[in-house]
Amino acid sequence: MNNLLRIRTLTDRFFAGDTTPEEEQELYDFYRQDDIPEDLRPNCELFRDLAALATLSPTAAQSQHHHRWWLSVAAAVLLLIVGGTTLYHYQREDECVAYIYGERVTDRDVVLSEMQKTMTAMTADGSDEVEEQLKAMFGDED
Amino acid sequence: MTQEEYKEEARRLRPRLLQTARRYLNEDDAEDTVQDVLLRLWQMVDTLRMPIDALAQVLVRNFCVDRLRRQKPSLALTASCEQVEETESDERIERVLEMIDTLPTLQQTILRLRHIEGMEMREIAELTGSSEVAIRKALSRARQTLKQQYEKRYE
Repeated sequence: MNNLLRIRTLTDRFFAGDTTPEEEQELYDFYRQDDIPEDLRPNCELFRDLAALATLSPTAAQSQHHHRWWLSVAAAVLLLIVGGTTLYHYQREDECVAYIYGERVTDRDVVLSEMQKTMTAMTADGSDEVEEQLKAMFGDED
Repeated sequence: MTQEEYKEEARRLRPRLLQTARRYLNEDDAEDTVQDVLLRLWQMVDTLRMPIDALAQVLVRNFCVDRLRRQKPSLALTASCEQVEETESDERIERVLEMIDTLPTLQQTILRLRHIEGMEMREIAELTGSSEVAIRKALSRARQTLKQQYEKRYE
């Protein structure tokens, strides 16, 4: 009963332009139900349609991009660690050494190619950023 | 903002708005969308305050998404439950947008900024150069008109 009282108050405040986005979400959730008291039923379709409209919001879409954002950060960190370590050895011993799937590889092109494959898979969109960063780090000599 | 100031602003902003619209739409649709936004802004020129860059950019993005959504192909006969739900949601969006489009331009804009962009009153007030109180009043009027339209439709 208390909840219904709150919903009625919130509904009035909604039409007075006086609700917060959180309160509006509460109303969307309430009006989505099947069992709505008769006096509030005329509002159902409007609130259900507005709830659908809210799915177009950039903040609603933002959560879908989180996954990719973290992959990009992970890729950047991996690039710094692997690239930095490889570069350190390369400069100290004038030799490029990496362990790929447990195998010692000294061919610089193979190392770069494997790193690029990994990074491309992680960023998922196959952007050229990885290649550019690798080139910037190791240069294009040979 | 005076009409002369608006014309100057529209001329200055147009290339950047087109650039934004082209990220979503082809050349013709981008042109139409920018034109539509500039027309709507023109209709609210008396209430606008400089600068209008941010408001214009948000509206262009908003109308581009709207146009893209309307261009979506219709549902195939073998649609999954998820697709059916999505179509139902699309129909709801379509219906409410149709009703919003019948409102005065300022009310349309405020409803879009609030219900699609998810903006706070303060942000809408800043974007439109208006006060929070004025925005609340316009939002209230817009919602009450929508309520009446829905009641008529479903009585």
